[in-house]
Amino acid sequence: MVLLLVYSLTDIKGRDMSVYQMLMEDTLRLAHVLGAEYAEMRLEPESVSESVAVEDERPVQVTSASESSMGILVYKNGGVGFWGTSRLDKKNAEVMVRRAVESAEANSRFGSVCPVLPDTRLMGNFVYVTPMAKNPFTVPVEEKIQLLVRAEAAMKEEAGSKAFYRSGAMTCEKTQKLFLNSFGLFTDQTFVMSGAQIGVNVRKSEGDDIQGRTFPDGHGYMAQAGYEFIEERDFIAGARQITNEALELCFAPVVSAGTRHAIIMPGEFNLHGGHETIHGFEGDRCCGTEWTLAGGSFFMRILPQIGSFRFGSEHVNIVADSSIARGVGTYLFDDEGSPSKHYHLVKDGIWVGLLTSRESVSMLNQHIGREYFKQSGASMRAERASSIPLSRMTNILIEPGHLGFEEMKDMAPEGTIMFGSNKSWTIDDYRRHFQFGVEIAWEKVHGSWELRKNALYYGDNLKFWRNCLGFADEKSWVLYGLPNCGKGDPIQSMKTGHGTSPAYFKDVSIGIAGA
Amino acid sequence: MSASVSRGHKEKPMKTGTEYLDWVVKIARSMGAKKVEAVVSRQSSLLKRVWYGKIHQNPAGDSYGLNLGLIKDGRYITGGISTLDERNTEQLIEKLLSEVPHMPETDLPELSLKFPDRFPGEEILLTGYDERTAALNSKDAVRKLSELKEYLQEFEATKDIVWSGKMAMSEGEVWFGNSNDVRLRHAYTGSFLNCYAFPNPYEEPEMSTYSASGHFVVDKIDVGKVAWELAFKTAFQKGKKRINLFEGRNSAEAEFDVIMEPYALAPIIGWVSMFSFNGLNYLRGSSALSGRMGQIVTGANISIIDEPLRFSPSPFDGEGYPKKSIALIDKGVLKAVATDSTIARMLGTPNTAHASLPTGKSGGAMPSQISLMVDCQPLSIGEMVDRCMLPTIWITKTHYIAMPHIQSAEVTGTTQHGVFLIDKGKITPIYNLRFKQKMFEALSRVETAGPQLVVYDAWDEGGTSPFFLPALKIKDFKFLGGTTLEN
Repeated sequence: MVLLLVYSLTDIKGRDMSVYQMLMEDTLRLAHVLGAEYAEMRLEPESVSESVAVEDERPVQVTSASESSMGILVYKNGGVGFWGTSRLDKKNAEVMVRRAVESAEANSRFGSVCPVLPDTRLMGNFVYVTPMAKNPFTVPVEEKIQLLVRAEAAMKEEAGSKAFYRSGAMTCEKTQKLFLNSFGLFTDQTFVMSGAQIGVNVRKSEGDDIQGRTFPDGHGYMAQAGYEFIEERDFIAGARQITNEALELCFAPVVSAGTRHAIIMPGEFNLHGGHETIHGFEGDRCCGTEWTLAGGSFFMRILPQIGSFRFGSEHVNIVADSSIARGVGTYLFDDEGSPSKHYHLVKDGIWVGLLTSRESVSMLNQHIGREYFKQSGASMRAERASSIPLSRMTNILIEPGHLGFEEMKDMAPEGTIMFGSNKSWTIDDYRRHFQFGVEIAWEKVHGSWELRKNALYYGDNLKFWRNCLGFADEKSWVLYGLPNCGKGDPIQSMKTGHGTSPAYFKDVSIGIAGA
Repeated sequence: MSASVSRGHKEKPMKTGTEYLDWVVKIARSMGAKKVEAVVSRQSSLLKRVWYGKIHQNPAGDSYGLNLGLIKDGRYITGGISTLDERNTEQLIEKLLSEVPHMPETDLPELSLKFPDRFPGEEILLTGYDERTAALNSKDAVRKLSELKEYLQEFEATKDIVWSGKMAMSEGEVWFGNSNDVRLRHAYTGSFLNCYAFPNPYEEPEMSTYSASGHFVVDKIDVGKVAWELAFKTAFQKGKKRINLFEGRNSAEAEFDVIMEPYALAPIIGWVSMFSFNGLNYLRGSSALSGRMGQIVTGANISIIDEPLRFSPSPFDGEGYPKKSIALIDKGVLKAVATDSTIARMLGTPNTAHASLPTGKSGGAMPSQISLMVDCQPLSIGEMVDRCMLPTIWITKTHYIAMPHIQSAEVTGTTQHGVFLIDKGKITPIYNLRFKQKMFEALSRVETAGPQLVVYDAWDEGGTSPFFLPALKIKDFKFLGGTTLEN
């Protein structure tokens, strides 16, 4: 974490940032002139991204994009108003603030959920910049393309024409976020993200079953870091490995359905355990306010039991941490100006926390019947400054256990299924009934692990977590960045961090995709 | 209607969309691009989300975009920006031209040369536009919500219920232009109201039902229909507890006949559209329809047509080709998949004009507005319910669809917001179920259907395109367990 208490008046391109600060101050002043009791404004001077995509050793896309945005939230007469825009100038800022105030007035007349003010003691200027060793924007595009081309060539060397579709993609992004509220809190945060992924699709011959594999992860593999994050992985060796696995899968038996023990690898469990389950810990879902869109949570009707309800077995410890190095959900302040935090959601299997905002803290405490939450969990995040902040995951870390991974595999009984990288995902709107499909699975047969294809598992999420037999130790713990979690109306995309080691469960229902 | 890219900005007058487009094409050519295609967009929108009768979230604002494709030395490259000023645009073009040598040589894509005479150059193409809706007045949105509140009071079943929902309005313009002097412009509006009723908010807070109405004219939002549909279903939920259909069963797998309402069907058809009718997937062999052109893929009573000009869409695709109706499945036989100019050439078929924006071309091509028709006398939901001879699941809406096996178009997901068991004339609310069903097989078992409904939500997760779908009665739909709330 980098915390610089001296505010720099230039941005990363060396432009004079005081122009934007003045624009924000003037706009907030106008909001108050128009009768707003409180206002907070966000502004993103310029977000840039560069994406490279290669298919079958041919570049198919080299895309550069940039965008700017600003948005203002106002409280007036008990109503909340918001307006956002992508044009950063004074006239447009005036239009924006007038429309936000107008909206707050209309909402107030209809009846609006009570606005909640931030901590008035939090003020001053704060700056955050992603620590990195190698700026990904200075790496030549040719070098990025060649890395992906070489990986795809390695796939062809392994599988020949059986590898009928090979793909690779690399993305880097840089976003600067400014925030100012009526109480004088000003934050300037700059985030750099880097990620890459390769994939191969193989079939024995045309018309046969297709088997696809990805490396390092099927969901983008991203970190808040520079290009060094890409360089740390051997994409050529990874390409060879996944191609050979995909080839073998073409000849492997389909998994057999039934109830067994399961070991779930981070490539699947970061999505199931660290992401899809944790949506149910979002404060807005637990209050019921997302019931009409993203869905709810089974915690909704048992909120008074927080602090004592058994969510999982004693092996389960889950932390929300918006300060971990390289986490794509790491920041100094969230998008409503709350400082980043580290706290347990589940401690020794007991449900103890939720992802909260200043609004949901107040609503949740009412449902719980006591002041369980003292302050916001700093999990309000917006895709861009013109979007409203939503209750979001930060970095969700499932704490490792004490078993070595090999030890875990040795102790698993015959017939145990080990699930590799995620392929398909779905869970109901209480975050209870799930089904996950994987690219690759193995079954323990006579002490060795044999490949199985088209595997999926399903069941009730609460029973599932209570059947957890443990986690592998920190040596096999992996932090992933998911680049595109969708939520909100209109839909917003968000990066969320997830860390886990291989997880071990009993009585898992196993099924077959496409059966 | 505003023709300005930067509405409200007077200090430094910005170009209109058409002027900006002309300038982009011209400057890109002068900087070295041989061919240029560009899509410029502007959208403003506002939304009031209601939770338990109060406005809770109200995102609103405007956004702009330039999506650009350039060809130089026979190589094609794409990029985009959202701040449409000269500095940003020139920087983007400069960067793309500096990187275009990395792209492989290609004779693709070709640029559209001429648009049909019925859509000449600068004329605005209004397929769904309303001035009043375009004003995006917060008061109009609140008025519709207030009307809904009053309508709900009129029905016994809904007069004292708790409700949530939303009212959304949007307006925007899209300009297409290329270096072949093609210039197109389209303006649109949209509005949408939905409502979720909670008949037992304290005993069964998760039990709700759903209805919606969407139109490009805000005054055509059918608030009365929304309230009536809610009242109709709420009557079967009020004062009742749901039952768990899988309680006590040994197996999680089961088959039931289903009545699937258009709201439930739309996201499933969206997935089928994305994966199965996508011409690129068809070409690669990963679509469930690959290699089945001209073959029977559904029941003979099913026809699926893409009708891109029926309701408030852009009349041109991302390459500037005019959209038109295409029969994808005719009486059960596969007739076409969606293509852009590149995919069409690779398939050796006529281009169906489903190109994405320049930066999205690698994702293939998808139908834009699916219309599903069943060759039968349409029945109302009530008539379909009355005619159920076997235990049947009546599904209002579906949630979190996935396709675990793309090659067989097997979809899974759960029911939500109103799911009932119809058995021996009795209608009972039940807990949500997970389905797991190969969709083209299901479309071979459609027994009857209702009238087509426009399922349209310009803001929903299904995207901006409407679907034209009837309620379907399908035999032997497959389920795989369901939600329990036991703790």
